[in-house]
Amino acid sequence: MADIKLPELGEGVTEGELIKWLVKPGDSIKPDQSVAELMTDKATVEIPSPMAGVVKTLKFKVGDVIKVESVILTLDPSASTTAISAPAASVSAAPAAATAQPAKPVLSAPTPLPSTPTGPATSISVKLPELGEGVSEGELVKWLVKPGDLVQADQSIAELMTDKATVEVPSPFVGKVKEIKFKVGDVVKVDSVMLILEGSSSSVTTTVKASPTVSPQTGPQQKSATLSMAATNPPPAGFATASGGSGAAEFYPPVAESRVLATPATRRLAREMGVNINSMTGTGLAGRVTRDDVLSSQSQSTFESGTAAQKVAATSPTTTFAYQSPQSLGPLEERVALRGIRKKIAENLQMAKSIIPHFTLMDEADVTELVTLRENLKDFAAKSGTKVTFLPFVMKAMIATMREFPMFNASIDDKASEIVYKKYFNVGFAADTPNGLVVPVIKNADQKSILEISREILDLAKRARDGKLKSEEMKGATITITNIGSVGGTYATPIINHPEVAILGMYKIQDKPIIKNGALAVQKVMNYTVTADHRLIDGAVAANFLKAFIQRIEKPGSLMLEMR
Amino acid sequence: MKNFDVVVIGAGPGGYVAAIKAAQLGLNTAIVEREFLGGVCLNVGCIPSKAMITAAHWLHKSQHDFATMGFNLNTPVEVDFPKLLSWKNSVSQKMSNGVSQLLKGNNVTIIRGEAQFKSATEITVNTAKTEAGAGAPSAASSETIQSKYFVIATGSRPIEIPGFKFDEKDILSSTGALDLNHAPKKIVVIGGGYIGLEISSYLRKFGSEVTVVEAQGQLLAGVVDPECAQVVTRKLVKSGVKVMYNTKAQGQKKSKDGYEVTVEANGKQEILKADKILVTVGRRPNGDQTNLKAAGVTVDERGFVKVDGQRRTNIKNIFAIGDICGQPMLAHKASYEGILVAEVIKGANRAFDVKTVPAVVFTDPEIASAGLTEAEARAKGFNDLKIAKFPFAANGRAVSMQETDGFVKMIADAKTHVLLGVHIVGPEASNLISEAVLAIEMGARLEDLALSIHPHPTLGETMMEAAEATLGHAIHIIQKPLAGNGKSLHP
Repeated sequence: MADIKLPELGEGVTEGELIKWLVKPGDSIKPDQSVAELMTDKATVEIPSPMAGVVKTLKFKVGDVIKVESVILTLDPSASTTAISAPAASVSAAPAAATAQPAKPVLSAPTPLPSTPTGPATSISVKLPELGEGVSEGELVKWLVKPGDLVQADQSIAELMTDKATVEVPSPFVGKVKEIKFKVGDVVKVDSVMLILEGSSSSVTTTVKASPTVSPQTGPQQKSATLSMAATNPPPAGFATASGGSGAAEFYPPVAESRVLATPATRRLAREMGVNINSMTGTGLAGRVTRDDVLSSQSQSTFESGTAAQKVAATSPTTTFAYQSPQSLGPLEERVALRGIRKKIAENLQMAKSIIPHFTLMDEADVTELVTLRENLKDFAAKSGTKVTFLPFVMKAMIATMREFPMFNASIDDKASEIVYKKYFNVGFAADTPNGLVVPVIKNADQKSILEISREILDLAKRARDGKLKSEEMKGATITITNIGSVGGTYATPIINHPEVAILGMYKIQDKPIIKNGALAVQKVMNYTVTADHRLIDGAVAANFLKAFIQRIEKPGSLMLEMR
Repeated sequence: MKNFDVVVIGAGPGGYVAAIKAAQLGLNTAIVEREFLGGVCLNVGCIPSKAMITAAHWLHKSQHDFATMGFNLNTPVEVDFPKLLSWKNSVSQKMSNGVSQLLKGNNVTIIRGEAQFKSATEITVNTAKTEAGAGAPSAASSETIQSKYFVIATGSRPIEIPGFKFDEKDILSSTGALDLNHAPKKIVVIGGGYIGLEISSYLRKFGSEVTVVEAQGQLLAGVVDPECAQVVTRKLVKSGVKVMYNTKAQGQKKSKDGYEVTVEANGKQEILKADKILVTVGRRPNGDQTNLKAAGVTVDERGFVKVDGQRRTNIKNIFAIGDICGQPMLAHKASYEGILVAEVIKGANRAFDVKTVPAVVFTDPEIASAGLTEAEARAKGFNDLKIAKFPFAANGRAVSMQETDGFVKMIADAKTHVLLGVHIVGPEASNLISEAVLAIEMGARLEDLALSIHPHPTLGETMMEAAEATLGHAIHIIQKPLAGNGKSLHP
C-alpha cells in the first residue's frame, strides 16, 4: 500500500481546496494521471499521481482544505499489473505469428514508474488517408484483415470504392488488429479511424527494418505534384538515402511574394489546392486575392468549363430534383444511396450534356477486309500471347483520321476563350463493369503497335471489371471510343466525355446484302457513329471525318501506310 | 530499441511546439533535451531577462516618477538581489514546468540527454537521467532511438570572441549576466545589439556603471528602424550608459581590482576598467553539434543547417527549425516553424509563408517592428511610399503613464495605401506590434486601421492615429491642410 501526498503547489502555496476527485476507489491509474482538482489562491491545479496502482481510499472530501504533504489517497501499486494487463490477455486468440512478438506484459514493478514508453501494448488508430483530389469518402467493399491479425506497415487492410476507383488502403503502422470500426457497405470519410491496432515499440522496430525498400509513395493515394502529399503514410526507412544536394525537397506552390495581397488563411487554402497565388489576379480591394478567387481558379489549369459546368449541374433542376414517392407505391419502391462510381457517372454525364451541344452522324462500313485481316492475324497474335480484337484497328484508323482533322483531338477552354489542340493521342474506351461505366485510357495510342494496344486493352478491361483500376488510368483521354454495339443495337447517340469534343461509336458486325458494282452481294457491315461538340466541329467537318475514317477501315491495308 | 514517428531534438520554443503539434496530429513523438525544457528562451533568455527588466523598471519608476506623482519615499527602495534572483528563477521554473506538463499531457516522450546522429534514421542519446515522477535518477547510459522523422531544433549559443573566454563568473555571456547575484559596479558590454542593450538598460537601472563597446557607428545597427534606435540610444545615454562607437574590444587582463579591457578606435587604444565583462556580439547556430554529418545533413560554413521553404533539410526525413536553420533567431519564428514541420510530416502541404516575422527589443523604451523598413520597401521596388509618425507624447494614456518617449511609424504603398511596415518605439511597443502583424498579414490598407475604432484612452490609439497621420490627416497632431482645402476628403 502506498500513500500519495499532496505535492508542492508552487512558491508560497501551502494548501488548496479540493474541488473534485478525478478518480474513485477501485480505479486503476497510471503514473502522472490526474487524481484530483485543487483550487489554490493562485490557480486551479490538477494533482498527478507519481505512480501507478489501484485506488484504495480517498482521504478527503470535496470542499476540504488540504495542506501540502498530507496524504490524499492510498494506492495499491501491486494491483496495477493485473489491472493493466487485462486487455492484453483478452486478445489471446491471435495467430501464431503474433506470438513471436507478443505485447510485453505490463510493468510488474510496484515501485514508482519511470515514464519511459517501453512495455505496454499501445493502441494505434489507423485512419483513412487522403484518397486523391476531391475524394472525401469511400464505400467499404471488403476488409482484408480481421481482429487478431498481425498487420505490417504498408500492408493493405481494406478495399474501398470511391467515386473514382476501388483502392486498397494501407496501414502505415505495425500492430495487431484490435478493433474494426466499420462494416462492409459503410461509407468511410477521409481521416476517420478505420481500425485500432495494438502495437508495441519492439514490433515497430522489427518491421521497419523488414521493409526498407518500399518507395515512399505507395498505395492508391499517389497524386500529381501540385496536390498535397499523401497523408499519414510515412516514408519507410529506405528514403534516407534519397536525393542529395542542398536544394532539398521541392514543394509547390511557391510562397506568396511580397506584392501579393491575401490573408494567411487564403494563402493556406491556395497552397492546399495547389494554386500558385503569385500568378493570380485578385478581384478584391487593391488587387487582393480573395478566397473566392482561389476557389474559382482551381480548374484553370485543366478546363475552366469544368467547374462552371459543375456549378450549373449543381444548381440545375435535375440534380436538385426531389422525387416524392406516391404514398400508395411506397412499399413497391426501394431507395438506395446514389454514391460511388454511379454518382460520379451521373455528375459527369450531367455536366457533359449541359455544356456540349451534341450532334451525331451515322454511317456503315464494309468491313469484309478487316474481318479477314483479323482472322489471318489471330494465330500470329496468339503466338505473341495475346488476342486481337477490332478495337485496336478502329483506334489506329481513328488516330490517322484525327491527324487530318485536328479539331477532333482538342478541348475548349471556356474561361480563356481558347481552343486547345493536343499533339498527343490518349484514347479512352468505355468499359462496362459490374459497378457501372468506366473509361480506361490507352495513353499515347499513336505510338503503340496493335499488339501492344491489344494487350493493354485486355489488361485494363480486366482490371476495370475487377474494380482495380487506378484513377490515373482513367484520366487524360483526348477522345473516347464506345463499343456498346458489341452488345446490341444498330446505332446509339453517345455522350461526349467532357472536356473531349468527340466520341466514336462502333457497333455490331452483321452480314448484310449490299449493292456493289451493280450486283447484290453479302458483305460484313459494321455501323459507326461520330458524336461531336458542335461548338467546335461543323456538321460537314464531321461528315468528312466519318467518311475518311470509313475509307481507312474499309481498306485496313492503308493503315500500314500511315503507321508510325 | 525505441522507435518513434517523430523525434524532436531540442526542447526550446521551436522544438517543444513541434513535438506537441506532432503529438496532437497523432504521431508517436519523442523530444530529446540535454539541458532545460523550454530551452534558452524560457531558462536563460527571453523570459528571465524580462523578469529582470520588469524589476528594474519598477525600481527606476520609484526613483524617478514616484516623487512627481506625490509618492514620498522616506528611504530609497532597497534591492534584495539574491531574492530578486530567486524570483526570476521561479518565473523560469514555472514556465519550464508548464512545458513539461504540456509535453506529458500530449503523450510526448521526454528523453533527457545529449543526442548524436548515427544515421538518418537513428540517434544515440547519452541519457543523463530518466525523467520520472518519483523515480531516482539512474546512472548515465546511452540508448539508441529510431525514428521515421527527425526535427533538429538545437538552437544557438552565444558567440565567443578571442581573448574573452566565458567563465560566466566575470567574463559573461547573456547566460551569466542573467544570473549575477548583484549589480556589478562597473561592467563593459561588448556588442550593442539587442541582447547587450536589454541587459545594459536594466543593469544601469540597478546602479551599474555601464560602458557599451560597439564596432559600428550606431547601436542596434541593421536590426531595427534607425529612428527607433535613435530614441533608445538617446535615453540610454541620458541614463548614464557610456557608448563607444566604431570601437573594437581587443583583449582583457585581470588587475588588482578587477579587469582591464583594451579597446581600440581609429587606431588608438584605450583601457577600460571593469568588474565584469559581458560579451553580446551575437549567437551562433549549434550546427557543429549533434553529429549531423552522420545523418548526411548539409550545414553551411556558419553552422546553419540548410533547409527549404518547408524547413526540410537535404535529407528528406529530417527537418530543422529555429535558430539552427537561419536568421532571424527569434523564438516566435521557431514556434511557427515547429507547427509547420509537424503538419508537413503529417502530410499537409504547408510552407513558411508569412509576410513578416515581427521583432521586439525590450530596451527602455521598447522597440517593435513588423513588415518592411523604408530601405527594404524601396529595395523591393515600392518606390512611391507614404511614411509618417505619430508620437506617444500626443497620446493621453502614455502621458498618464509618464512614458512619452517614442512614436509609431508607418510605411505604406502610396498608390494602394497597403500597409508595408510598422515600427514602434515607446511604451508597450512589444504588445502593440501584434495589431500591425495582423494588419500586414491581412493585407490591410491604412484606411482599415484608421477606420477601426480604437478604445480610448489606450496606447493602441497611436496605431489608428499613425495610420491617419500617414494618410495625412491625423487629429491629434498638426498636419498640413488637406489638398484643395478639404475638397477631397481623401488625400
